[in-house]
Amino acid sequence: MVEIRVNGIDVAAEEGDSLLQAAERAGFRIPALCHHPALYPAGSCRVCVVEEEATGRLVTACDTRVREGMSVLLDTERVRKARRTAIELIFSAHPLHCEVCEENNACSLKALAAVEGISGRELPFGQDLRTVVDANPFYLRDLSKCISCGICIRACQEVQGVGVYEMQGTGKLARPSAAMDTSVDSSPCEYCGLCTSLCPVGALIAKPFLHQGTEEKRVVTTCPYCGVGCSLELRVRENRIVGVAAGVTASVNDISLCVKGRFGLDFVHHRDRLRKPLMRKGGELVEAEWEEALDEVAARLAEVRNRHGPQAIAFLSSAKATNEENYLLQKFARAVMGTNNIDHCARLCHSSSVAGLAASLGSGAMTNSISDLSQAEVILLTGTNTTVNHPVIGQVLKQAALSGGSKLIVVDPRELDIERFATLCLRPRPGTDVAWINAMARVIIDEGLYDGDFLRERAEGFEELREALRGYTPEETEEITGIPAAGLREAARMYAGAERAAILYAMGITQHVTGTDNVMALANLALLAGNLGKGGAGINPLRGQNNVQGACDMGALPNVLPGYQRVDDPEANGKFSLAWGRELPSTPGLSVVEMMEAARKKEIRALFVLGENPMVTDPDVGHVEEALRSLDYLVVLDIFPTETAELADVVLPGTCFAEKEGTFTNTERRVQRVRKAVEPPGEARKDHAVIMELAARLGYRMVYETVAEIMEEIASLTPSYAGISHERLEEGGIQWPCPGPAHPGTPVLHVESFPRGRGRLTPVHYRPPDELPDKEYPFLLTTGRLLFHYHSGSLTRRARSLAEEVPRGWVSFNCEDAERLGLREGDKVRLTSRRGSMLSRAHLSRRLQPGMVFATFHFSEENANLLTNPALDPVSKIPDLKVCAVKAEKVEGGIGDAPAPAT
Amino acid sequence: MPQPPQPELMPLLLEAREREGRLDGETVERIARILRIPASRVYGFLTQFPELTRFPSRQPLVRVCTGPACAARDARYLLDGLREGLRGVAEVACDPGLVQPHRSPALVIQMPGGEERMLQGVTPHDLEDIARSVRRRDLSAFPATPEDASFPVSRYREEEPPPWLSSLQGGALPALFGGEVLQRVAQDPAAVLRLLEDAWPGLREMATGDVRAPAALVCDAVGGSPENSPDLALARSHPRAVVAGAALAAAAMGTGSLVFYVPWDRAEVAGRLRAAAEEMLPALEIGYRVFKGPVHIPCSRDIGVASVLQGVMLWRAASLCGRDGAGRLEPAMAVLAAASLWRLPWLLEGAAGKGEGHDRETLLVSVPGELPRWMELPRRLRAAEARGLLREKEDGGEPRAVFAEGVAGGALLCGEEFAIPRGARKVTVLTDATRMARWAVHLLEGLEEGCCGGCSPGRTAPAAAARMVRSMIGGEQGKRDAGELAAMLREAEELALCPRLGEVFPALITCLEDFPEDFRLPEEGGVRAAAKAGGKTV
Repeated sequence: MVEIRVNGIDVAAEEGDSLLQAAERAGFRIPALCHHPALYPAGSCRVCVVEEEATGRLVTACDTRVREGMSVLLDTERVRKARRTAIELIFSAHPLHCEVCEENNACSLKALAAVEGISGRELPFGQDLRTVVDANPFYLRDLSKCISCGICIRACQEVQGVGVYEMQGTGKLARPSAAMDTSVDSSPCEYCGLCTSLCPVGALIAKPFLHQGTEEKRVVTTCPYCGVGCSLELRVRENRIVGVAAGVTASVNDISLCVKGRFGLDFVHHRDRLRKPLMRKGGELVEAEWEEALDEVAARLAEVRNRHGPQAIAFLSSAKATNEENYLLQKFARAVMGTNNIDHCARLCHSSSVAGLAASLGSGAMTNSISDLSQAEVILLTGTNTTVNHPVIGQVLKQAALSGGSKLIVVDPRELDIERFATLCLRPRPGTDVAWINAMARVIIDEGLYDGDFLRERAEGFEELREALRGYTPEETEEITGIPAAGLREAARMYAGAERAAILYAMGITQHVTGTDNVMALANLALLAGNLGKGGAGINPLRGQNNVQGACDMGALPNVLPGYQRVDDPEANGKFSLAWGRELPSTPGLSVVEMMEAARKKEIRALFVLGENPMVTDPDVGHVEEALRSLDYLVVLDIFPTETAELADVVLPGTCFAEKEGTFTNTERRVQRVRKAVEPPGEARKDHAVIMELAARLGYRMVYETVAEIMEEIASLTPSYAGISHERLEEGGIQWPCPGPAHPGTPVLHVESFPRGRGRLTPVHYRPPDELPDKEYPFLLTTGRLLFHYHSGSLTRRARSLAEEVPRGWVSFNCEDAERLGLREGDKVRLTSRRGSMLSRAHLSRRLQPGMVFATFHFSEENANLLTNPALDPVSKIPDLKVCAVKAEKVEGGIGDAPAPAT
Repeated sequence: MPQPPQPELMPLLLEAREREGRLDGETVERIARILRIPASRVYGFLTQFPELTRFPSRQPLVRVCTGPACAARDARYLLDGLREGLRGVAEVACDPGLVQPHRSPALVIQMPGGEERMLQGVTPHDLEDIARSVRRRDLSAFPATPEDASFPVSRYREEEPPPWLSSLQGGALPALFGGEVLQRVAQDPAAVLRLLEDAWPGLREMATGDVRAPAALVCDAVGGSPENSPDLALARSHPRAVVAGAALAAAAMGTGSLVFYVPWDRAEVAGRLRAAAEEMLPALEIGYRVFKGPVHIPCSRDIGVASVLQGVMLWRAASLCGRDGAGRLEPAMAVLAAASLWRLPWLLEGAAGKGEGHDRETLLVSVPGELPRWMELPRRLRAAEARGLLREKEDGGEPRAVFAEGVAGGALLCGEEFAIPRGARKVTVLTDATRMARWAVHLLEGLEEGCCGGCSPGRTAPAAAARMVRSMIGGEQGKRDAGELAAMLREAEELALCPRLGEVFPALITCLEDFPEDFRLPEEGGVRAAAKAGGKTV
């Protein structure tokens, strides 16, 4: 501690504190404009000057470190005068158009002037002409109002790690600008909007919320997009969201959001929102009343069950719905309809993780926390385009690298943005992951880099693994993987040589017919190096959807009940049967892709879909359409008329995240509150209420006064959620397992032991992908996502700014391949696989290896899943979405606009 | 987190400029990739040095010197006149100081093909001829720019100049300079540090042991006042003395590393220093390098030079160094001008005579309209003696003030006696022909863009003050007077992030307080009025 004096009062400060920090902690107020606690101080605005008694100098409180015995005065006449002069100088170059400025009563400069008693201009005004720059759909830059505080620059460099802006010019002409003074849309800006949220004046304004007025209330909730689970503050006025901010302290995201979370929530109010039930009559979907619709749904489901048996009914639950809704739907499927045919989109993304990590460690979840990545000396990133698909985690990685504390190893078939921060980049051929991972394991063993103590005490299977790795030297695998041996050796040494090293992975590892093997191979690395059970380490699958972790936790899976308690385990089955008052089925049900096949064969006759869109997101969607059209009865409960809903017999209007209470569980197992901010449109009802109504009509009492009561029931039956309640979640999330009401949660798993006892080193062997390029289909198609859109696009294509920025899709080609095909940027091109064909536009990229093409599935009219292979991993049943063979043909008929650069 | 230094940034930019003739977006991106930093940072860094962003153009370029002496001769009027007369035909830019020695006011005309002329002692009558020649792209009417102009040495009264001044006319270094002297200095550095302490503030703390040795000593061969730069003149004409002095200072500071900072486009100066260093330093086990960099640095000079050497943004450097100077940049550097170093070999020899340590300063003395000359002057210069400096001019007028440039910017000396501060390297005599109000505007306008812009006072105070002065001399002052403006300048200087404003504002404040009547004179005074009256120059 450091003892200082502030205004004559003794204050205990911490070593390294600034005067500002120390004073504020002691309850003093020091105004500042260019300061933000999350950013390195700049001392630019000079408003925070205080008087140092010993020297008589004025010093800036934000960037002056405390020293033992220091004494400062905050409110002398001299300080007040200096502060006033600082503000007056800023005003001398700042237009006083407050009445029409969007920032108006949120303007820090205006507030500061008011406090200091400055009501007008004291110094003559002058400013070189500065313009309003309106170059992107997300925010405006009004440079006439810029006070050059540099907050936007520091935020972009220090927090976002991108560095779009830097101060350009000198003196009165100094202003933040992108490189070469280009517009932001030609820069690497990711439109996270952090600069707009931190700008103290009206120089950076978020466009989606222009002229919306001041909010009436603020509601803290959780983002509905990805598995990071960012904390949002929704600003609401007259039942509309008029602003979005981050910044609930101690949250996952701190002050950051991504472009979707900040600018992509206006889908809530889109005109396409379903407002009334729709029923198919005369071949058309027409509006109906709730009672009629619910009566029919209940009756038809009962009819199918009675005529064809419970196994003829299937349910698709939703990784977008809350934990409570997922819990109720799987309870409905099992207790009311008597079937385990329930699954959701986790099948398509991380079922390999669940299966593989459960086998290796006994638990299929991310072992560590997002926040402890900064403790890692080495981070191995593979199969994850983190800055695109988990942008806020991407920021954490960039900061870890920029700080010099962490080295990144990136292993991916495509060149990724994160590589700018990486120490080592390796480029494997798609579908060769077991080979290169085994080669790394071989190096670790051969060079004695494994943690012998850890293996002795906590793992099993070392000798079997060592034996199985014959034939997997880096030199031997080079021909398979395309990765030079020296690079793999270096990666192995870096990873195993670190005291704390973490593995992050996503779809590039899981979405293969060998997805489970890929995951187990990665688990082998972590076990060999002893990188489990401690901070800054672990094996960390990055879950995609906002609540895919929760949906799995709640048992929306065919083989497990809530908490991963197996349906075929007599003890678990008995517990739930007793609790729910019904004998529950014990035979595992069908997974998503199996359901489609079963529907085609008329083994599944009725399907209830909650918040999913298999017509866009499943592999081989032609097959999916055929399956859905084969059903006797299809019910969809959703918020938009999706491509799947278009085929339904009944469409029920549900509520989105902003219109209900509940919880989501993010990728690091953190259970967080979702809070109602606005009323749903029209007659849309909460999803859990719809399920309860259906249950009642089918003679099953499912009554909960509040959503919190549902969580109470979950906690009573699910050991990992036993200590979780809505009340405990009021001040922030809790990471499961949380076995009791006083337990704080578990940031790091497997500290003492693994759920299965010892971690298992599992020998796995390389198998090639199910379908590789050949003469007829010479290209390898790999799929992925974009920063500006999310999965099937049902939300993001209805968010105005996102849709404007990226209105349609494209297919990326390697530049050399494009030249051979005669393709130019924007040319029409047809891609064809053994399953289907799609028409799109070409984008030429240096980021792809020759022979590869890349496409997304965000746009149903140009959907890569028309082409993808439904071949399954035998254990996890995940389809081979990352590798299939296609051919490409240029289509004459005009050049379109060049697509946006792929990110 | 603060940005790490990128010492390769300036060399990469200059190399690209030399190779490609321009610095475009592709170059910026390429350098950003090499250094693994955002392109915005490379570009932002580049824009802080306008002389580097000025690309060769198809139009002629006329650079008008607006250094203190030229400003005192109403260089701004020349600037406005040429801009008017050459609109659409040539680019006319103000240059905060031409590096070559010249008689004020001066300008340089550069043709697209590379032909160049420097014109000295330009009068309003010359504007028409200049404009005609530029339009015709024919400079044959003007004499060639002197290749190797040097400043003459003058005697003060009839006294013999000190040996170091004599050496400028062909003398040699003191015989004692060599390894033995360095060892003596290293063991007892106090004497040398005392001689230099006015040249660099950090030396006072170093002498008491409060500050550790700098990682390198930078010998600035450009100087804080590039106009008629004494530092550059010494580096060109007496490089061995500069190198010797730098070596002595380095030994006294306890650093074994020297950096000679030279203008990026003056290859001959770099070559001469390098040759002298190669001859003298290896035997003394002092490492060195010659670093080419921009001449005009819009920042406190120490911070500016150190930031250029480390590739750190001026803005960032100012926030890191604050008012403490360059010492807080990592690695810490001491920046000393060549004119502060070159005399050390003689001073150590004991040949101080009437020089340092006593009551004399060796200075470049600039009288508007004349080529500056080296002189040794008494530190307390009476007005009558200053009048004697103007004796060569038939219509020299009366000295009103002396502008002394040295370590901490410039001081304006007024009254019956001019107390030249220790460490001053150049003085400019301002006569009664100089409108102090216009001279004040010149200082402020130079500061508007001559400040890095890293703090709010730096960005706004010069411009606000310039507007106030213009309104005062335009008769629109309203309630404002010189006293109010002086008060605002004092407050802004105290608020500023770095010493830059403090290098200029004291002179401005003196202007306002000691010459208030000048700020009440009508606009039509000075050169413009004189020109209208018949073209007689002043």
